[in-house]
Amino acid sequence: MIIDYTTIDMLTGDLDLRVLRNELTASNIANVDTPGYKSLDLEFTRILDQAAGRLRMMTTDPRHLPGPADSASGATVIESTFPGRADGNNVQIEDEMLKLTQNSIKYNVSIQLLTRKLNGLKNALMDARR
Amino acid sequence: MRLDTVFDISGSALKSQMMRMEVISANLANINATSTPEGGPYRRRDVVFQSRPLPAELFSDHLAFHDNRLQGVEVNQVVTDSSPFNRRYEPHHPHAGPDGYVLYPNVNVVVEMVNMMGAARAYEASMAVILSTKSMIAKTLEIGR
Amino acid sequence: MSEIKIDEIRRQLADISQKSKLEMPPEEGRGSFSQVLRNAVAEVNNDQVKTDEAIRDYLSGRETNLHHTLLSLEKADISFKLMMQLRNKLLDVYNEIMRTSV
Repeated sequence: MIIDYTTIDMLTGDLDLRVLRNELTASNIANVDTPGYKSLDLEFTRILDQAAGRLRMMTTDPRHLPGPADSASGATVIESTFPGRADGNNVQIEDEMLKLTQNSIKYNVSIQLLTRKLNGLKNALMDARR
Repeated sequence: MRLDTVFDISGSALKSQMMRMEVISANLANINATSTPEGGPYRRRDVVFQSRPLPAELFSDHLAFHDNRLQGVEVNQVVTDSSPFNRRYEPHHPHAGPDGYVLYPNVNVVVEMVNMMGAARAYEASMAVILSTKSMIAKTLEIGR
Repeated sequence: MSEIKIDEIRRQLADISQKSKLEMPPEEGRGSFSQVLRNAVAEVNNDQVKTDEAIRDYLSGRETNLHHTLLSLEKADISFKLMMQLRNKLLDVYNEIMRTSV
């Protein structure tokens, strides 16, 4: 319609990445004692298109996760190359706990921004009376 | 926020670490058992963890932002420790051998305690994931409120 | 918003669209009055359909991300509010025109 949902779509893209990162962290923490398990995380790739001044997404890798069109950054899931312990497991539980908290906070921030943006739109519509 | 994926992963971890705790408890309870119904002293047991993929019904055809490498965990098997029994010289013990030595279980209290702490910590960590996810879901429901 | 209210608005929009066809000469170009009103009628229904789709996708497990479902509902709500404003403006313009015509 007439409304520009670009910012909202970008925030949605961010939420999608945070959801996945939370799941990866859950997987890492669950497998902290599994022999041979390698820690998983997102690698953020972001290219600043200098000419246009916008963020453009890199899509060279077939495993690349799609973001919403024209959104900020793309991300791929990679295995950590951190050296493993005796059983081959390389999960660092302190790092994972930190990621858990940090990711949760960033998720909540995006939710907040989303809500405020949506309410802003709604208010603008309600006030544009006669 | 996806509801089911994390709970499946972390739930499997809670079950697995709890099973590990039970095996450790059995080891500690039987640390002085010089005779068992199978004959001989109690043999230490251990769990073997293995990654297990998520159930297929969690994923719809239109799945975006999903990775096949997401794994839960399960106890693959419970194995007996084949390391040698501990020997103590107790010639008057009813189970003493002809040389006066009694064979005691190959359970080491310190090793079991360390493992128990590890299992407890891993259990709590997955519990933290569940609680954190629960709060993210609660926040999600506040979109637009 | 209730079903009754939406039907009422649809009825009003259809009403205006009907009247405007009879009493006003059609304008050239995209900005045809009745065309805009017809689009508005279709749009209101479309929002409701989208909302139902989003809910059904969630219930059937087709959509696993809760925030997607909620956002669909929010977008439909905003679209509806926009329609409301358009309807009000159009009503104003219509009444204005009717008052000043011969």
